Amino acid sequence: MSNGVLQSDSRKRLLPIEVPYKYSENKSLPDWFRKIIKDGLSAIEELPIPDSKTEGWRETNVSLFFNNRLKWQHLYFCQDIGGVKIPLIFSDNFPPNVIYFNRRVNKDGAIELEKKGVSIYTLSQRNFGEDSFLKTLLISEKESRHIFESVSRAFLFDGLVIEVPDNLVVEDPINIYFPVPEIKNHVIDTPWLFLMVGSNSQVSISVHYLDEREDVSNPIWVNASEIISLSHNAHLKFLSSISGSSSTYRYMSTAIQLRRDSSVSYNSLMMSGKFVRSELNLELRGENILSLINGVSLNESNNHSETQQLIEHLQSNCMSRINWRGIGKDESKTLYRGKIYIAPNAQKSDSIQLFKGLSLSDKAVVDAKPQLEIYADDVRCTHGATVGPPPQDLLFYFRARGIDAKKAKNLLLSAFVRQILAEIPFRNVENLIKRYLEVLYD
Amino acid sequence: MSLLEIRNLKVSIDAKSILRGISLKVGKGEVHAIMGPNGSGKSTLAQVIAGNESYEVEDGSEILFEGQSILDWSPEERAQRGIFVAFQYPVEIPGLSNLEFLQSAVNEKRKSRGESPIDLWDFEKMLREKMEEVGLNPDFVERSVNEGFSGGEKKRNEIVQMAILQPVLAVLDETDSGLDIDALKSVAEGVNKMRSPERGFLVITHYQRLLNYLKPDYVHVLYNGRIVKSGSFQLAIELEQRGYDWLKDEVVV
Repeated sequence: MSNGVLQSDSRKRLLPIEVPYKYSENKSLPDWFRKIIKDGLSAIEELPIPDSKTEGWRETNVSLFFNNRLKWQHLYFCQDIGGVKIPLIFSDNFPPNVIYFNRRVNKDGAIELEKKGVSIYTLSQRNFGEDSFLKTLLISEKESRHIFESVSRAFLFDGLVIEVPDNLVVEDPINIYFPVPEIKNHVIDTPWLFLMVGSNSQVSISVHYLDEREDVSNPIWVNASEIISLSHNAHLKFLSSISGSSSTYRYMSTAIQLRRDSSVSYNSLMMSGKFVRSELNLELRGENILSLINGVSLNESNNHSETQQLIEHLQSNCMSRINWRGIGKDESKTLYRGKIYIAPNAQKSDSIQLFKGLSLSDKAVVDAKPQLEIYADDVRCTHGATVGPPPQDLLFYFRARGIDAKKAKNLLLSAFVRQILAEIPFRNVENLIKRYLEVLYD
Repeated sequence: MSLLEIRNLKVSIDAKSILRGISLKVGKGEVHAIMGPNGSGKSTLAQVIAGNESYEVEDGSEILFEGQSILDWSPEERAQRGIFVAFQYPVEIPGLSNLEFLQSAVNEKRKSRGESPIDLWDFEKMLREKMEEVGLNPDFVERSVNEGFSGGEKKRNEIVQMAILQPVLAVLDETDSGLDIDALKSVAEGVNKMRSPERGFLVITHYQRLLNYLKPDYVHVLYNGRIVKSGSFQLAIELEQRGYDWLKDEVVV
């Protein structure tokens, strides 16, 4: 054991892997699907648990997930599960169209969307996508790189699928919720979202990962995965909001594949929770793709909030912009790691990556590492990062106008966040973040 | 009782002495100009009056505002009680609109006096008017404070803030530097409109041209941390013609 993290076989005892083992033997499931689960199980056994020596995990202590005190049960097989709650601040600003939890989908709010041609279903409802693009998508996924990815695969019992057909423009955002229910044990949940946007279509989607449990004495490990595929000339505006409690541990993986002439505006609000590590991988697979990425992490207490991004320019004439902010208070740790990869034939790539961090206390760690890996010679790529406390000259300016330091810091904090929110193409996003912002106020 | 009385003010920063014993009285209704070459300590004086804690005020120094010592007052307390400093280099505050910033400033001042917050609708109307008066686009109320403003716009914005906050004592720190003639006139008009028997001004400048419009009652020359000469507006004209070098000789004598 190192850093309180269990090595080797002990992990098997901590994860309820007997269930997927049984599941993978179920002959009524398609072979390809059983193989994904089996591969996930093998990877759980084989892949090392990341520790301080593992590249990309050096500052990530995963002992919360893997230690002797916790024997995880999977949500799908738990007894005594309570209901879920969506607070008004969310439902007023982003009225739920789809709510997914525990293999159940409530799409009462999506009747109009389905009439327009948007398909909303679960993997199990369509026999695990035997005849669809989804199968190709799942099979083509890269091998698990670490145990969190393998957990998602091994426990891929079901998932929410949203299909936007070709040539459809959906004006209003589709609001999807992944809440967690009240629980009485240590529970792991592995929600999956598959989103496919057809050629020449345009859609706006907001996804909200919530933990509004009243009783937070038991930890919940939400190991969420999103696979998003955009066809030629498809355009997606995407908002992901992640919030949690003092016992929410989140690993979050988002893979977005873009094809020729498509565009994505990916926006993220990471608002508290004990632990969150969000990994975003964008593959710009065609020419003339535009990707705009905006996000902000608000962090306090002794929470860990981490963002890992890899943007792969694989073809020429693509543009990517990353504008990310991190704010840390108390003894929290807020990390940003972002890499732009430019493949040898991705000439005329244009990429800018910017991180700004605000640290609100001496003990808060806010750290950024933007990286460029460029193999083409005719590109324009820049990156930059600034981190620090609120500048003294700014604070003095407020004070010289009669605004005390405490109020000045709060105004500066709001202003800092508002700059990012101004870039996010979703109305009401400021309302959503307000209550989390107030937690950070002095 | 003077509005502002500075007695033997000695100030240093990082153990380097900058002001070496300044004494000055500004009465209500008066406009005083402080002129001096670069590095004479002009801006330090403005910063110390505003309460910038980066500067060390030495024992024996005194600054009185309406008869009360202000050296122990925080910058915000000074502002709330009616001291305003228009800065030479106003900072930019991305993400915070002029409207929100100034509304907060006004409300903090009102709160300190036990008054209720100002009505936002009325306030925005007033702010737009004040901006127009100094030649700023009134739509700047929604723009972030000084962000992307030209040098002249920043200075005009300082005058707008002064007009909104209605101080009793206004210190203008090189508000004229970097301004073209039109901006200079707007700024001077803004200041002249605010002149009243109840208000005093301390105008810090390197050049005479702003003073041509303001016509100060008194002119003081700051050199090497000391006021080496005081006089009427004529002194400013003389400085413009002769420069500062002749004063160095006088100081040596």
